[in-house]
Amino acid sequence: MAEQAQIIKNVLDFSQSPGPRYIEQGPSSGELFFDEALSHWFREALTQGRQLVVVLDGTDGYLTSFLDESFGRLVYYNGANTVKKHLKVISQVEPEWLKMLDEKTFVNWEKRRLAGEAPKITR
Amino acid sequence: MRNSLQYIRTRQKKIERMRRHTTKKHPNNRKKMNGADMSLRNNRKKTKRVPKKFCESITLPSDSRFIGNTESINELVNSIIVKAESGGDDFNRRFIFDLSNVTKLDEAMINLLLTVANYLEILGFDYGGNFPEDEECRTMLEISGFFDHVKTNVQIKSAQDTIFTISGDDKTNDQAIGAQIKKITKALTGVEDTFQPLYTTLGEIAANSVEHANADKDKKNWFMSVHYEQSRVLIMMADIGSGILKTMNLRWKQELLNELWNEAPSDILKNMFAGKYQSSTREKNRNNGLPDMVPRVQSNYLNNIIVVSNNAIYDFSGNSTRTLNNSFPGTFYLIEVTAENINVWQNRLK
Repeated sequence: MAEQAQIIKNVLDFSQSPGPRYIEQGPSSGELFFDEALSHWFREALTQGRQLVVVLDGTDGYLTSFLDESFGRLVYYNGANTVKKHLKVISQVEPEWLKMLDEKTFVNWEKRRLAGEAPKITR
Repeated sequence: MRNSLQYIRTRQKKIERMRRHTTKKHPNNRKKMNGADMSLRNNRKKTKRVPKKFCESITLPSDSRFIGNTESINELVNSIIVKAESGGDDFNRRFIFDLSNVTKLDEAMINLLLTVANYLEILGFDYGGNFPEDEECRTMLEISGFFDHVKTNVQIKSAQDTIFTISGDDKTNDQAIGAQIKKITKALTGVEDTFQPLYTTLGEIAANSVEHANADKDKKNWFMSVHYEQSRVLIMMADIGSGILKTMNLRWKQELLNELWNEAPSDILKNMFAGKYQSSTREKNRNNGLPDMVPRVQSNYLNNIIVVSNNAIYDFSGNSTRTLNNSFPGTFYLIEVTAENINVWQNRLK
């Protein structure tokens, strides 16, 4: 089976210092990352039938809430199955985040999606 | 005739009233006063309303270490916050900190004083103070960078290499935190680098403070200071607010269980960091930030974390907790980092 073509994007292109969960809490938030970068990258990948590869390395680090809110929204608006099929997150520096995304964020936000608990908009 | 006389008297009274009023208002007719009083008068004219004087003197105890004399310091901080919050809007607001009796001081207390000062400033208070008579404490305060924030007309020793501070309000400042962490790694290892466990920890603390500590946006506050030593760096971050225990919003079942098991506040704080309770927002995907701090100390990525919140204190590395008689009005964190921690983190995947 042929490997899916990829679009590679770096969080570093969004911010050196990823911030908190919501826009109202501070700069470079997870909410802002989703709105201004991740959602567009993912749509581009879906439109072109490619896999989006998001590279976490190179930033100062992450808050749990930044990753949960941004990738969680992706699951809420697209469904966990579609996200898992078209998204690959990689990190050599902190592979711990990949486990968290897979085991907690994707699972909990799929539950939220099914329950219709929409994300909070703070812009 | 009677009517016209009455009319003339009324007119005369009116003219006299107007004359008196004009004389009172005209600056050239004002009685000469000394400079200080004049300045006060000018201020009164600008504010229109005559402010009452509010100048509260706060005497710090001889043992002013926060870690070590937490009970007394909590009592002191509580009294300051109660006085400040009941100060009212019409007061000429000023606090004077009397440090003359202080003979014992620690970095945690300096951070706490600055956190309180930052909060007082947010509430619209002015503040000032004197030096400790004890030479060692005076020097410690001078080189701490304390006077970068508290104005003084006395010349003080510079301390740019030993301390760094960030004051925050209703927003986090992860860019400044990230930049400071690179200086910490440079000081400890000689190489400027990122250090993700510390970035995540400090970011979570600031974000929690912004989100939970104060419901009133205008009262949101946090203060971070970094103290550099030869073989370790202490990073302290605190806020004045509700505190972790008061914002937990436990489900009634959990509250009942805690009462049945006679859980002390210190145990509840420890359980919070163990991830045993749901987030105060009660959303399924929340409350990962605080519980993730414990493994960072257990894995030796951070040397220690001490947290004081409300009437509980939790020392991560010693795995010890204590319930306090006097409650701290907010949350205080002390994080200790050494070169070994950075080394362990960087080599963990090899």
